[in-house]
Amino acid sequence: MGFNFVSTFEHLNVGVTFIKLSVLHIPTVGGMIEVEGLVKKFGSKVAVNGISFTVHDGEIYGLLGPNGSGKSTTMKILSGILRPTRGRVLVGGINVAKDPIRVKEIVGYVPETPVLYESLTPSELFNFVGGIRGIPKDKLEDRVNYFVRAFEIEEYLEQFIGTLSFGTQQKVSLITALLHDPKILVMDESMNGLDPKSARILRELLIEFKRQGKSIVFSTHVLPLAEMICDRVGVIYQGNIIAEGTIEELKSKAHEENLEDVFLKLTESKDEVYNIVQALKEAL
Amino acid sequence: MFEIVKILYRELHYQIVKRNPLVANNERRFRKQLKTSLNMKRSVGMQSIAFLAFGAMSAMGIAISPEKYVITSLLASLALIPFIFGIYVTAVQSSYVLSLGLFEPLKVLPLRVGALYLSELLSIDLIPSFSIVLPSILVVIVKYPISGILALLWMILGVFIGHTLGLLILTFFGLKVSQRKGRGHSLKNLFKIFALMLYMGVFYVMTYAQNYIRAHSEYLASFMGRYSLAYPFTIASIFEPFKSFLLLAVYSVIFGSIYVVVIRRTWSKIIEPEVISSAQKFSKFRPSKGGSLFALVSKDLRIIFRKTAMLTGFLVPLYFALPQLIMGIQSGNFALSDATALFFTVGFMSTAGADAILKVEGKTLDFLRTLPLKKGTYALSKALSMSTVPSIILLLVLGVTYYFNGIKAVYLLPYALMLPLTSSLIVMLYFFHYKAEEIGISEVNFGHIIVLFIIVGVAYALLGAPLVLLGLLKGLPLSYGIDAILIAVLLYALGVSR
Repeated sequence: MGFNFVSTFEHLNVGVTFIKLSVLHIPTVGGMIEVEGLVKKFGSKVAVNGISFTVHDGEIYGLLGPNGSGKSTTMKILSGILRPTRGRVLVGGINVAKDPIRVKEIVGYVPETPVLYESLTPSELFNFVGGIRGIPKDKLEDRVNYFVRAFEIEEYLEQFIGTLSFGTQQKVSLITALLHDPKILVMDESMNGLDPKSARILRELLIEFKRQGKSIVFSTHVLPLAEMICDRVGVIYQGNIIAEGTIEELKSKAHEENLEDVFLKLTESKDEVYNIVQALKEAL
Repeated sequence: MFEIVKILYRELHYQIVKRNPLVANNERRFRKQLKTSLNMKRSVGMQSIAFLAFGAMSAMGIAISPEKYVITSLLASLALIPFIFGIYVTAVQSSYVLSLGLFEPLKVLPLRVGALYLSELLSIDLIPSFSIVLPSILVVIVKYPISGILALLWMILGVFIGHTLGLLILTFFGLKVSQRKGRGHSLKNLFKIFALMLYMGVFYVMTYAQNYIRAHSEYLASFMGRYSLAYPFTIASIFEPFKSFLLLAVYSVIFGSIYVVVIRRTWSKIIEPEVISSAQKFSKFRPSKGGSLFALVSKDLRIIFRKTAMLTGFLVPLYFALPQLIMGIQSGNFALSDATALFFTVGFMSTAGADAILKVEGKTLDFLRTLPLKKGTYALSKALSMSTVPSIILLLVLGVTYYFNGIKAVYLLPYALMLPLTSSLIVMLYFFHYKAEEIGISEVNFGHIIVLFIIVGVAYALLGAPLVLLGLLKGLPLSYGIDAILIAVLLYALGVSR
């Protein structure tokens, strides 16, 4: 199986060339991600309170929720970084609790804030990740050079990561998550810090990945973006999924015109926002 | 002001506990550990009590010594402890503290010299080092009150000098941000390391310089008297209170002034690290060879050699080995048995590198956890990284041994690789024996290092026994055999503990 990026980015004029990349063969069982009754506790604090959802092959699933609602915790569990306290989480048919290493082999995780080795250069970091993931040299070279050109960071390849801007670090973090051609992508507010051009490229890239049958779990606070790319969304609030469906289904159920209003209504914030704004106006 | 230091201390130890898989995966233990670690008085108190036993042993030696010159020579060697603690804790711990981003929130506050908080924060970690010297000082105070108080002041000054020098290392080597990894980068780093080694050996150089001056100038010799002017030998002056006080004042003025300058410079560099930039150029990615083990070790070594302040932790064996090596070279006689003793010293002291190697990751541990990495591979990579610098030091010593002993020096070649590897494997097994799969960095405190020194000491006694019982050349094959078995067992245990 291969894919052609030219068609994806031609209209963006980013000057990419055709590179055929073979995709790792990864056997999957049923839905790519199956979460059943997931509970995660940190001490007595319940971060995730028995949520269930499924993400199918070739689907972009948006996980939306206010700060501290349990999004990042859920995403870290899906990536094999954290272990569930209770419940069953299958990623590509692999039980996260039992074999987190194999889960990490097939997942590409992009955190909200890039945390990278600041005294390494992006080149060295890509080699490091390639070495750990056992990516063949020629494949690594092709993929890195492709993404480096796509995100326009060629000039930063030999600079120390600590000296790069937040946005450039985010691009480096993004590339490290894509190097092994993951079957599943978990992106926790990964558009943060990206310039409009790179954000657009990433958006197109996600749509291309979806076309190839990859599953993507995506969280963002930019609701118009979620509206644009997500096939289905789950609204998570205080550790529970309080609504799930396509954007249209949610709008229809909530009797609202746009996703932002749906979100505020579901998270019981609409009146609160109105009252705060009124109070601020009076105070100012 | 101390409120901020308390917050920084709590945050630092919270971050350390959070990164410790031994406790982070066990809620009850995590809470208990937080309770202990975040309690400054309790934590410092417990560490101090642990060291008190070692201090008591040294104090007994002083208590039974009737001769003043014996007391001063014992105190001079003891005075090295707070000094080395000062230099080491400042250079290594401060790099770690800054890598955790502890000072980022302070940058936006209107603070004139925020680095003072760094000084205060580190001084908390330096307090336990006094437990080792305090019993001896108390004995001297009881026997000779004024001299004892002077000795105490010298110890305090020692830790202050070490701290100031540590800040200098941090400021000159640790707080620079080189934007581009240029061609001369490796060369510059090698030069920095060489400069650092010279820097660490400066007190030995001063001692030898004094010997030279005494031998060549009667005037200078009479002026300096029979006591050295270089710390820690200055402590010998405690029985001449006026001279000692004068020396203390001179040292305090010199290092006090250096401290004032360097602490301001440290803060301005924390606020805005010096950026060494060069012309931008577009480059193409070239993949390098190697699997996960190679990737991990080369990453560690790159970071260590780029953060020269961190390298200080690995040069501790050199500091202990340098006098033996210099004496051997000076006397023109560096026998195979001397070299063997030095090999064991360097290998044994390489245990101190545990702290630095486990602090390479800092915040980036979260990044590492996103990768499909097995604990056993990670632990082995840490062992290999940890043994690299001591092995390089031993290979250099082997070169000197070859110069004096010819081809016979080759007999010791396996030790150059095996001894540091044995120490580092023991260290890694100690820290990575937990059952959980997650990769994590354990909290390393002085208590752990002491325990590790004891364990490594027992292993080295086992390796050294054939040499003592059978003689050097006859005992070597057996010693190598035991070491090979020990390494194999340790490797197996590291694999099993995954």
